[in-house]
Amino acid sequence: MDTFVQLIVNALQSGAIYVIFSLGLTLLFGVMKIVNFAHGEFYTAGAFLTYLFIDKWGLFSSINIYVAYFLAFVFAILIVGIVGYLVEMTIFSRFHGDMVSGLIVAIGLSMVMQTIYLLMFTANPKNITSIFKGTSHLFGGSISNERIAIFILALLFTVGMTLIIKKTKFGKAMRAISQDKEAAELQGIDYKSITRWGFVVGIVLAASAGVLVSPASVVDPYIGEAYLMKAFIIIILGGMGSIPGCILAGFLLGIIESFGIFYFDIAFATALSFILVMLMLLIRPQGLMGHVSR
Amino acid sequence: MKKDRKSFKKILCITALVPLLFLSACSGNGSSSSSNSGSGNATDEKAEVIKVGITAPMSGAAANWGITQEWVAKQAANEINEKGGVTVDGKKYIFEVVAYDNKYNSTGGAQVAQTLINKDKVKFIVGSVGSAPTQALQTLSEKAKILHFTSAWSPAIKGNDFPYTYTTLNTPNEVIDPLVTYILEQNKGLKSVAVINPNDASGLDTAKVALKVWKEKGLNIVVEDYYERGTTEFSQIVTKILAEKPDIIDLGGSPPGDAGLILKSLEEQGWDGVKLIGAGTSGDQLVEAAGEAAEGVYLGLAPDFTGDTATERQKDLAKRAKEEINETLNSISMQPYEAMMALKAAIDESGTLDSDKLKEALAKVEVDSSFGVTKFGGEDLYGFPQQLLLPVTVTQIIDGASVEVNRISTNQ
Repeated sequence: MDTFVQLIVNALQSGAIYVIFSLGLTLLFGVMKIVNFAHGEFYTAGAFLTYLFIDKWGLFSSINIYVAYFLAFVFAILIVGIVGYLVEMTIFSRFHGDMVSGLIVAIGLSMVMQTIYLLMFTANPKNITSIFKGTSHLFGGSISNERIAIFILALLFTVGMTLIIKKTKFGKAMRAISQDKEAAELQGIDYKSITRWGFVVGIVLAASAGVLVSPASVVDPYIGEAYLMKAFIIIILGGMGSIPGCILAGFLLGIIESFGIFYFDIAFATALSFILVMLMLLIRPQGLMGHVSR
Repeated sequence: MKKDRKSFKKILCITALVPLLFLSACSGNGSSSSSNSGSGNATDEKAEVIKVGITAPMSGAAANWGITQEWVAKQAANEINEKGGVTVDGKKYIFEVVAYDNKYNSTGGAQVAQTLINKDKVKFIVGSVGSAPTQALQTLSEKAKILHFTSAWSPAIKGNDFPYTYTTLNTPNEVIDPLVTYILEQNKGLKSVAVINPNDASGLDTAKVALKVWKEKGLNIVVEDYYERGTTEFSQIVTKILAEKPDIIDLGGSPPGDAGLILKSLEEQGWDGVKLIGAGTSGDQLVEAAGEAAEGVYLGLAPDFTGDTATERQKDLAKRAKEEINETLNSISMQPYEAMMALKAAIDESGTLDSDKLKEALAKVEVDSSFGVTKFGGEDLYGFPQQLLLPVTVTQIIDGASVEVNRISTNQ
């Protein structure tokens, strides 16, 4: 029983990490048609900025750790947001609507960013001070308080993103552009501005994931790349651009990995997730909760 | 027509941008471009140059190994060159180091091997990192009779089938038995062990030797598992391991990032038994990656180059590496230093650059290694003296610091 509970806890905690990482990617990929292979590097940027603020420079060492972490979070997403705005303006804006060119540029950008991280931080993995220290025991399973915090924050982020996409003018404009760019422009939607800010939101989500997950993980120049493949599995399974689909697929992947690794091995769990992707593409290409594009 | 022109401009733009981005990604600290140095700033200008090569990862998660190997090799070359280099048939020679990024895989290893041997025409290879790229290199270097000194961990690269290959860093056959013996002496009553490794050549070879040693010591192996290098989530694997209630967890050939994540998961799930990383090359890196979760871990390949047990030469190199390239030296970093010193000793002894004669010399010379004077041995195990006899260092993480708790001298 204890082991079963632990497997469920493992599935939920890793699922929450996958969901929070994939949210921004599904927004960019599904809604704005940008295959952002550099998404992981913006995650890494968030994680490294947290490392700099909290551990390396100890900028907020004289104040409460939670306040310090909150300030690190705010500054990190602000910096990454500005970088993202500039990247969209100078690079990606030239490839709007051209998915293949955008993809190639994103791969190049990813390599450049990894090299910059390597030069700045070396390849040695870094540990970030735990913010929510200690471990809790739930129904016989153990989970660190850090992971509980990630789980709760991931849920809050997801709900927030859903509300932004569904309820706000900005979200509605993004959805309109994803459905029919010309029709959206005829309705007075500023395509350039919405895509630019949509891109910023997407990569700020990636950086937020980096800030949130890094204290429970490690950070190195290539950590974002490792999460990226899982994120692609999630958005294909869940449906491109579908936030509920992203949540469902993120936790589904967590469950597959948790039980697959325990009862078989890691290779089996990895193979199973790719088989599911192939089946999904064959049987239901729009994913679990995606819509058929016309 | 206008649209076509626009598309053409776009293609041109991408074509120009992608190689540019690629090049910028490749250039940088210890990059794939050859870096020549150590070519005698204080030596006779008429001296001829002996090119020596390094094939090591200079990008990716293992970049530290390649970057530091290149730097250390250049320091060794400078040291030898400044003392006048080596003399062959009355002619002075100085060393020049050429290093390339092998990406830590066999494809990269094969490409670097081709470049070093066929393009740069290196006389010797003084450093190679990674079992797979080293095996790729051996397919060319052995045929060309190029003496090759390596840090590759896999026993599969050694033996009579590879007569021109030498290891100047301890490998599983040298490290694991003394490490396990020491741990069992310090921690009485241990009965079971879980062995987990990356599922590549290094991990599989480490597991093979470790499983044999644990069995010989009478321990029950409750888990033998493998994972993909670079895995980001280990909680599931840790749950699987802990369900078997092991007394010891042997992380074998796990690199610091993976080991850090496993240790964090072990801490989260409340396990606090004996932990070891046989191929652990740096305690500082492990602490940097795992924080408090690294406490108590034993490492088998992590000599402390800054502490009391380090030699003056090691301390000096470690200090300058931190100042000049902001990198921490580990045992893999130091391997080319031992190789350069072995090569110098063999050339001095034989007065030739002929590989077969140098082989004869290597079997008997004393090598002024960074650990002190030593020689090659291991003929019982490998068929000829192929292994530089270096001490086995047992390091433990104590109070967040890497402490060398024992230095066991190697006997044949």
